[in-house]
Amino acid sequence: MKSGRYFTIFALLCLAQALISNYFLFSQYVLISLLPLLVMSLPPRYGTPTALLLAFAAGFVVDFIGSGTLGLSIVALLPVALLRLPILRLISGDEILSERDDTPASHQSPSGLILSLVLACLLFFTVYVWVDAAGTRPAWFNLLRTFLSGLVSSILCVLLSSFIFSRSR
Amino acid sequence: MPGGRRTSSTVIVSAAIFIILEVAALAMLHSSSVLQDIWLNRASHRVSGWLWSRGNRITSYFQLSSRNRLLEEEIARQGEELRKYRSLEKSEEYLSKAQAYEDGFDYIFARIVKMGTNSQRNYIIINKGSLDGVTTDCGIVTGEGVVGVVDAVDPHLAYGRTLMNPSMNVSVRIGRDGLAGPLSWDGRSSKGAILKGMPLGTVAQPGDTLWTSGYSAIFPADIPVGIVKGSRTHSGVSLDITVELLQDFGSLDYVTIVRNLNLEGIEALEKSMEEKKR
Repeated sequence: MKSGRYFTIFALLCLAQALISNYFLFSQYVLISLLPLLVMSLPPRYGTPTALLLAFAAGFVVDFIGSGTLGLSIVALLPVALLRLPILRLISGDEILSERDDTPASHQSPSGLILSLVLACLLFFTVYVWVDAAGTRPAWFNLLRTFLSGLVSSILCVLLSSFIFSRSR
Repeated sequence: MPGGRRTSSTVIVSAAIFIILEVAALAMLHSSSVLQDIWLNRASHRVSGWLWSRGNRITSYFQLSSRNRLLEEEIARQGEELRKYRSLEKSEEYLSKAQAYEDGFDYIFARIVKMGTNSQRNYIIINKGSLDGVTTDCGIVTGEGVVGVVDAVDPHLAYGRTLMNPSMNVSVRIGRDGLAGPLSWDGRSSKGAILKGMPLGTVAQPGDTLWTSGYSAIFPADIPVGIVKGSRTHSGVSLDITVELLQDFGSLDYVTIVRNLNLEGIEALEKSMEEKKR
């Protein structure tokens, strides 16, 4: 995948996320985020430092445009960017990282893709929900919110990933 | 930078960038939301409180040595006062209070530089010498009992025999008002001593405390020395009393040197009496 195409997708996903944050609020138990997909689809040639900077930028844009608290998405997205390569290596092996110029989603098996996105979403929402609650909500609420948000967002991310990157497969 | 290659420098750079960006994000969160602001403040207070308490513990640990020294000095000072009060209590029937308070000894606090406990002739070197007022024939004691006697001094150090030395004996009394006799090391254990040649009728029950008698010019009276463990007759004519020393020679760090302020006068008097006898 060319860098230009990836960054176009990156910008569109940021915009989509800002719209979701502003207009698609279903329940206090369910949050939707496409940001984990944005980070996990970054080609392996971009190392962790680049991924961290992109995650920071994406989180900032989404928080700034969206109705979220400034800094909240960044705090949650940075751990995903930090653990992006270890998650990919854990689930799909070192081979996935040898395809340096293409998005990992193009070369992962369906189960690998689902698993890596589920892990990324759960990591993202674990931090997001915990920081958002700021010690004011009970643990069971946070756990349920993390689980439901992770589940819904994972499904959405997998569907979007299949749609966007299907031509590359 | 290739994503697949994981060198240690990459890991360090990634971790540093992650920490910097997380701190920046938390700073944004801190300033943009009251709820998160309070939460972060509370968390930072908890962390700083924890760090302070740990820091205090570590500082206290490194201060243990100096605090221990202060405690030892305090114990030595209180031991000296206690002996003076005992002397006052004991002699108030005979002497005026002013006379009784002065027991005629000077006390010098010292640290042990070197001490032997494993040979048959054990010695001690302490960090006070003639410049500090230490002379030969000064006693060495602690709050737990008698340690030894100074044999030689240089300007900054003093060398002495400990009680764990066959040539050393201390005049002790059984109980406050019992008979007195010479106590010496039994030569076997660091806590064992023997009080030899006591009259057969001597009353010495196991558990009785032995105190310095004050008959020698080296140690003041009423320093606790040991506890009676048992007794046995010696050749049918005398009684040997086995004693457990109160002083643990294995854990000594600090001692108090006792200097008899009247020692020169006593020695001069003894010398003149010997000359008269001749």
